[in-house]
Amino acid sequence: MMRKTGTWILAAAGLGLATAAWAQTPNDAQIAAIVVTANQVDIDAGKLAESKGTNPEVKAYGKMMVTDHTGVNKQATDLAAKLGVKPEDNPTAQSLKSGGADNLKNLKSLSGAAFDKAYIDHEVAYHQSVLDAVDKTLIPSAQNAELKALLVKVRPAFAAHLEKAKQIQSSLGK
Amino acid sequence: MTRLRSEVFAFLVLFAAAAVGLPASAGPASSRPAPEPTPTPAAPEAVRGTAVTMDGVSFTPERLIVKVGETVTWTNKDPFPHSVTSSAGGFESGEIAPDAQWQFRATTAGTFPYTCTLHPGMDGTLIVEP
Repeated sequence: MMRKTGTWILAAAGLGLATAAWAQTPNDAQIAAIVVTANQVDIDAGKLAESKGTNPEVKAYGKMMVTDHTGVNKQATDLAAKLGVKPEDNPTAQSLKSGGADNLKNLKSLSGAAFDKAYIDHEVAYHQSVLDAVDKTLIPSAQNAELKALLVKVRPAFAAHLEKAKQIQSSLGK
Repeated sequence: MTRLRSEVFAFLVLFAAAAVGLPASAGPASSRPAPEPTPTPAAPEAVRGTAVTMDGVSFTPERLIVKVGETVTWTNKDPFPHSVTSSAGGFESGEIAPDAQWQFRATTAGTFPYTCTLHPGMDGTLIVEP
Protein backbone atom coordinates (compact mmCIF):
# COMPACT_ATOMS: atom_id res chain seq x y z
CA MET A 1 0.00 0.00 0.00
CA MET A 2 2.90 2.36 0.70
CA ARG A 3 4.19 1.88 -2.80
CA LYS A 4 0.77 2.48 -4.31
CA THR A 5 0.31 5.65 -2.32
CA GLY A 6 3.77 6.74 -3.33
CA THR A 7 2.96 6.30 -7.00
CA TRP A 8 -0.14 8.42 -6.68
CA ILE A 9 1.79 11.15 -4.90
CA LEU A 10 4.35 11.12 -7.71
CA ALA A 11 1.67 11.19 -10.40
CA ALA A 12 -0.18 13.99 -8.68
CA ALA A 13 2.97 15.92 -7.92
CA GLY A 14 3.81 15.80 -11.60
CA LEU A 15 0.72 17.91 -12.14
CA GLY A 16 1.39 20.15 -9.22
CA LEU A 17 -1.79 18.75 -7.73
CA ALA A 18 -0.78 17.24 -4.49
CA THR A 19 1.57 18.83 -2.12
CA ALA A 20 -0.11 16.86 0.62
CA ALA A 21 -1.63 13.62 -0.51
CA TRP A 22 -3.16 11.40 2.12
CA ALA A 23 -0.83 9.72 4.51
CA GLN A 24 -3.17 6.77 4.84
CA THR A 25 -5.80 4.90 2.90
CA PRO A 26 -8.83 7.14 2.32
CA ASN A 27 -12.14 6.06 3.80
CA ASP A 28 -15.38 6.01 1.78
CA ALA A 29 -16.42 9.51 2.86
CA GLN A 30 -13.03 10.84 1.75
CA ILE A 31 -13.22 8.91 -1.51
CA ALA A 32 -16.65 10.45 -2.17
CA ALA A 33 -15.16 13.93 -1.66
CA ILE A 34 -12.23 13.11 -3.95
CA VAL A 35 -14.53 11.82 -6.70
CA VAL A 36 -16.85 14.81 -6.53
CA THR A 37 -13.95 17.27 -6.49
CA ALA A 38 -12.10 15.54 -9.32
CA ASN A 39 -15.23 15.71 -11.46
CA GLN A 40 -16.00 19.31 -10.55
CA VAL A 41 -12.50 20.46 -11.38
CA ASP A 42 -12.81 18.99 -14.85
CA ILE A 43 -16.32 20.39 -15.34
CA ASP A 44 -15.03 23.88 -14.58
CA ALA A 45 -12.14 23.55 -17.01
CA GLY A 46 -14.50 22.07 -19.62
CA LYS A 47 -16.86 25.02 -19.36
CA LEU A 48 -13.98 27.37 -19.95
CA ALA A 49 -12.84 25.35 -22.98
CA GLU A 50 -16.36 25.35 -24.39
CA SER A 51 -16.46 29.12 -24.31
CA LYS A 52 -12.81 30.06 -24.80
CA GLY A 53 -11.47 27.26 -27.00
CA THR A 54 -10.74 28.02 -30.64
CA ASN A 55 -10.30 24.61 -32.21
CA PRO A 56 -13.73 22.94 -32.74
CA GLU A 57 -12.39 19.63 -31.38
CA VAL A 58 -11.18 21.35 -28.23
CA LYS A 59 -14.55 23.01 -27.72
CA ALA A 60 -16.37 19.71 -28.31
CA TYR A 61 -14.04 17.98 -25.88
CA GLY A 62 -14.77 20.62 -23.24
CA LYS A 63 -18.50 20.05 -23.77
CA MET A 64 -18.06 16.29 -23.40
CA MET A 65 -16.16 16.81 -20.14
CA VAL A 66 -18.98 18.96 -18.78
CA THR A 67 -21.63 16.41 -19.80
CA ASP A 68 -19.83 13.25 -18.70
CA HIS A 69 -18.40 14.52 -15.43
CA THR A 70 -21.69 16.17 -14.50
CA GLY A 71 -23.39 12.81 -15.05
CA VAL A 72 -20.81 10.96 -12.98
CA ASN A 73 -21.05 13.55 -10.23
CA LYS A 74 -24.80 13.26 -10.07
CA GLN A 75 -24.49 9.51 -9.76
CA ALA A 76 -21.79 9.83 -7.10
CA THR A 77 -23.73 12.35 -5.00
CA ASP A 78 -26.92 10.30 -5.37
CA LEU A 79 -25.08 7.22 -4.17
CA ALA A 80 -23.46 9.06 -1.27
CA ALA A 81 -26.91 10.34 -0.22
CA LYS A 82 -28.41 6.87 -0.51
CA LEU A 83 -25.63 5.36 1.57
CA GLY A 84 -25.76 8.16 4.08
CA VAL A 85 -22.13 9.00 3.37
CA LYS A 86 -21.27 12.65 3.83
CA PRO A 87 -18.30 13.54 1.63
CA GLU A 88 -15.42 14.36 3.94
CA ASP A 89 -12.89 16.96 2.92
CA ASN A 90 -9.30 15.76 2.94
CA PRO A 91 -5.86 16.87 1.73
CA THR A 92 -6.23 15.10 -1.63
CA ALA A 93 -9.57 16.73 -2.39
CA GLN A 94 -8.10 20.07 -1.30
CA SER A 95 -5.06 19.73 -3.52
CA LEU A 96 -7.26 18.71 -6.45
CA LYS A 97 -9.27 21.84 -5.85
CA SER A 98 -6.28 24.14 -5.64
CA GLY A 99 -4.66 22.44 -8.65
CA GLY A 100 -7.88 23.03 -10.57
CA ALA A 101 -7.93 26.68 -9.54
CA ASP A 102 -4.33 27.12 -10.66
CA ASN A 103 -5.15 25.53 -13.99
CA LEU A 104 -8.14 27.81 -14.53
CA LYS A 105 -6.06 30.84 -13.63
CA ASN A 106 -3.40 29.84 -16.12
CA LEU A 107 -5.96 29.07 -18.84
CA LYS A 108 -7.72 32.39 -18.37
CA SER A 109 -4.45 34.17 -19.09
CA LEU A 110 -4.15 32.43 -22.46
CA SER A 111 -6.03 32.64 -25.74
CA GLY A 112 -6.21 31.11 -29.20
CA ALA A 113 -3.96 28.17 -30.00
CA ALA A 114 -2.00 28.64 -26.77
CA PHE A 115 -5.20 28.18 -24.77
CA ASP A 116 -6.20 25.08 -26.75
CA LYS A 117 -2.82 23.48 -26.27
CA ALA A 118 -2.57 24.27 -22.57
CA TYR A 119 -6.09 22.98 -21.94
CA ILE A 120 -5.59 19.71 -23.79
CA ASP A 121 -2.11 19.12 -22.34
CA HIS A 122 -3.58 19.52 -18.90
CA GLU A 123 -6.50 17.22 -19.70
CA VAL A 124 -4.10 14.48 -20.80
CA ALA A 125 -2.05 14.75 -17.63
CA TYR A 126 -5.11 15.17 -15.43
CA HIS A 127 -6.95 12.12 -16.73
CA GLN A 128 -3.81 10.04 -16.52
CA SER A 129 -3.34 11.03 -12.92
CA VAL A 130 -7.02 10.52 -12.06
CA LEU A 131 -6.94 7.07 -13.68
CA ASP A 132 -3.85 6.18 -11.67
CA ALA A 133 -5.60 7.29 -8.50
CA VAL A 134 -8.75 5.34 -9.39
CA ASP A 135 -6.76 2.18 -10.10
CA LYS A 136 -4.16 2.33 -7.38
CA THR A 137 -5.93 3.99 -4.52
CA LEU A 138 -9.64 4.67 -4.86
CA ILE A 139 -10.89 1.28 -6.09
CA PRO A 140 -8.61 -0.75 -3.78
CA SER A 141 -9.54 1.44 -0.80
CA ALA A 142 -13.31 1.67 -1.29
CA GLN A 143 -15.08 -0.37 1.36
CA ASN A 144 -18.68 -0.07 0.27
CA ALA A 145 -19.44 -2.40 -2.62
CA GLU A 146 -21.66 0.11 -4.43
CA LEU A 147 -19.05 2.84 -4.19
CA LYS A 148 -16.43 0.45 -5.52
CA ALA A 149 -18.81 -0.59 -8.33
CA LEU A 150 -19.39 3.04 -9.27
CA LEU A 151 -15.65 3.64 -9.54
CA VAL A 152 -15.23 0.53 -11.68
CA LYS A 153 -18.13 1.60 -13.88
CA VAL A 154 -16.90 5.13 -14.57
CA ARG A 155 -13.27 4.17 -15.06
CA PRO A 156 -13.70 3.38 -18.78
CA ALA A 157 -15.14 6.85 -19.35
CA PHE A 158 -11.99 8.43 -17.91
CA ALA A 159 -9.89 6.13 -20.08
CA ALA A 160 -11.90 7.19 -23.14
CA HIS A 161 -11.42 10.83 -22.16
CA LEU A 162 -7.67 10.30 -21.89
CA GLU A 163 -7.58 8.61 -25.29
CA LYS A 164 -9.57 11.39 -26.93
CA ALA A 165 -7.43 14.09 -25.30
CA LYS A 166 -4.30 12.37 -26.61
CA GLN A 167 -5.78 12.27 -30.10
CA ILE A 168 -6.53 15.98 -30.01
CA GLN A 169 -3.13 16.71 -28.50
CA SER A 170 -1.49 14.91 -31.37
CA SER A 171 -3.60 16.70 -34.00
CA LEU A 172 -2.91 20.10 -32.42
CA GLY A 173 0.80 19.41 -32.65
CA LYS A 174 0.68 19.28 -36.43
CA MET B 1 -21.85 -4.39 -51.64
CA THR B 2 -18.23 -3.39 -52.07
CA ARG B 3 -18.92 -0.73 -49.51
CA LEU B 4 -19.93 -3.34 -47.02
CA ARG B 5 -16.84 -5.33 -47.85
CA SER B 6 -14.54 -2.44 -47.23
CA GLU B 7 -16.37 -1.72 -44.02
CA VAL B 8 -15.81 -5.25 -42.81
CA PHE B 9 -12.22 -5.02 -43.89
CA ALA B 10 -11.77 -1.75 -42.03
CA PHE B 11 -13.20 -3.34 -38.94
CA LEU B 12 -10.86 -6.30 -39.23
CA VAL B 13 -7.88 -4.03 -39.66
CA LEU B 14 -8.92 -1.99 -36.65
CA PHE B 15 -9.51 -5.09 -34.65
CA ALA B 16 -6.18 -6.56 -35.63
CA ALA B 17 -4.48 -3.33 -34.66
CA ALA B 18 -6.21 -3.38 -31.31
CA ALA B 19 -5.27 -7.00 -30.75
CA VAL B 20 -1.63 -6.22 -31.34
CA GLY B 21 -1.93 -3.33 -28.93
CA LEU B 22 -1.55 -0.55 -31.45
CA PRO B 23 -3.40 2.69 -30.84
CA ALA B 24 -6.10 1.90 -33.35
CA SER B 25 -8.07 4.99 -32.51
CA ALA B 26 -5.15 7.38 -32.84
CA GLY B 27 -6.10 8.13 -36.41
CA PRO B 28 -3.90 8.27 -39.45
CA ALA B 29 -0.30 9.40 -39.34
CA SER B 30 -0.04 9.01 -35.62
CA SER B 31 3.30 10.45 -34.68
CA ARG B 32 3.34 9.05 -31.19
CA PRO B 33 4.88 5.63 -30.86
CA ALA B 34 3.66 5.33 -27.27
CA PRO B 35 2.21 1.87 -26.72
CA GLU B 36 -1.31 1.74 -25.36
CA PRO B 37 -1.72 0.14 -21.95
CA THR B 38 -5.28 -0.93 -22.77
CA PRO B 39 -5.98 -4.59 -22.08
CA THR B 40 -6.03 -6.70 -25.21
CA PRO B 41 -9.64 -7.22 -26.22
CA ALA B 42 -10.19 -10.88 -27.00
CA ALA B 43 -12.54 -11.58 -29.89
CA PRO B 44 -15.92 -11.26 -28.21
CA GLU B 45 -18.42 -13.95 -28.99
CA ALA B 46 -21.40 -12.83 -31.04
CA VAL B 47 -24.64 -13.18 -29.14
CA ARG B 48 -28.12 -13.68 -30.56
CA GLY B 49 -30.72 -11.30 -29.17
CA THR B 50 -32.33 -7.91 -29.70
CA ALA B 51 -31.05 -5.85 -26.77
CA VAL B 52 -27.78 -4.05 -26.22
CA THR B 53 -26.84 -2.31 -22.99
CA MET B 54 -24.50 0.66 -22.90
CA ASP B 55 -22.81 0.44 -19.56
CA GLY B 56 -19.33 1.30 -18.33
CA VAL B 57 -18.59 2.86 -21.73
CA SER B 58 -19.07 -0.39 -23.62
CA PHE B 59 -21.75 -2.12 -25.62
CA THR B 60 -22.97 -5.42 -24.16
CA PRO B 61 -23.09 -7.71 -25.98
CA GLU B 62 -20.36 -6.20 -28.07
CA ARG B 63 -21.37 -8.32 -31.07
CA LEU B 64 -25.07 -8.90 -31.55
CA ILE B 65 -26.70 -11.18 -34.13
CA VAL B 66 -30.22 -10.43 -35.36
CA LYS B 67 -32.31 -11.45 -38.33
CA VAL B 68 -33.49 -9.05 -41.00
CA GLY B 69 -36.72 -7.45 -39.81
CA GLU B 70 -35.87 -7.60 -36.11
CA THR B 71 -35.70 -4.46 -34.03
CA VAL B 72 -32.71 -3.86 -31.78
CA THR B 73 -33.02 -1.78 -28.61
CA TRP B 74 -30.01 -0.02 -27.13
CA THR B 75 -30.37 1.11 -23.50
CA ASN B 76 -28.01 3.63 -21.93
CA LYS B 77 -27.18 2.66 -18.35
CA ASP B 78 -24.32 5.14 -18.04
CA PRO B 79 -24.76 8.50 -16.35
CA PHE B 80 -23.89 10.34 -19.56
CA PRO B 81 -25.04 10.20 -23.19
CA HIS B 82 -23.85 7.78 -25.85
CA SER B 83 -24.47 7.32 -29.54
CA VAL B 84 -24.90 4.32 -31.80
CA THR B 85 -23.28 5.33 -35.05
CA SER B 86 -22.71 2.94 -37.92
CA SER B 87 -19.12 3.30 -39.05
CA ALA B 88 -20.08 3.20 -42.72
CA GLY B 89 -23.42 4.96 -42.47
CA GLY B 90 -26.77 3.22 -42.33
CA PHE B 91 -27.81 4.06 -38.80
CA GLU B 92 -27.19 6.95 -36.44
CA SER B 93 -28.94 7.36 -33.13
CA GLY B 94 -27.86 10.86 -32.22
CA GLU B 95 -27.26 11.34 -28.51
CA ILE B 96 -28.99 8.76 -26.30
CA ALA B 97 -29.49 10.28 -22.85
CA PRO B 98 -28.85 8.38 -19.61
CA ASP B 99 -31.57 5.79 -19.00
CA ALA B 100 -32.97 6.40 -22.49
CA GLN B 101 -33.35 3.86 -25.27
CA TRP B 102 -32.94 3.88 -29.01
CA GLN B 103 -34.34 1.37 -31.45
CA PHE B 104 -33.33 0.37 -34.93
CA ARG B 105 -35.03 -2.09 -37.25
CA ALA B 106 -32.51 -4.07 -39.24
CA THR B 107 -33.59 -4.27 -42.85
CA THR B 108 -30.33 -5.12 -44.61
CA ALA B 109 -28.26 -8.22 -44.03
CA GLY B 110 -24.59 -7.72 -43.32
CA THR B 111 -22.05 -6.94 -40.64
CA PHE B 112 -22.21 -3.42 -39.34
CA PRO B 113 -19.50 -2.14 -37.03
CA TYR B 114 -20.66 0.85 -35.04
CA THR B 115 -19.23 3.21 -32.50
CA CYS B 116 -20.14 5.81 -29.91
CA THR B 117 -18.92 9.05 -31.43
CA LEU B 118 -18.65 10.56 -27.94
CA HIS B 119 -16.36 7.89 -26.52
CA PRO B 120 -13.46 6.66 -28.62
CA GLY B 121 -12.91 2.96 -28.21
CA MET B 122 -16.56 2.24 -27.41
CA ASP B 123 -17.31 -0.04 -30.33
CA GLY B 124 -19.86 -2.67 -31.21
CA THR B 125 -20.93 -4.79 -34.15
CA LEU B 126 -24.41 -5.58 -35.39
CA ILE B 127 -24.59 -8.72 -37.47
CA VAL B 128 -27.79 -8.93 -39.49
CA GLU B 129 -28.58 -12.35 -40.90
CA PRO B 130 -30.87 -12.80 -43.87
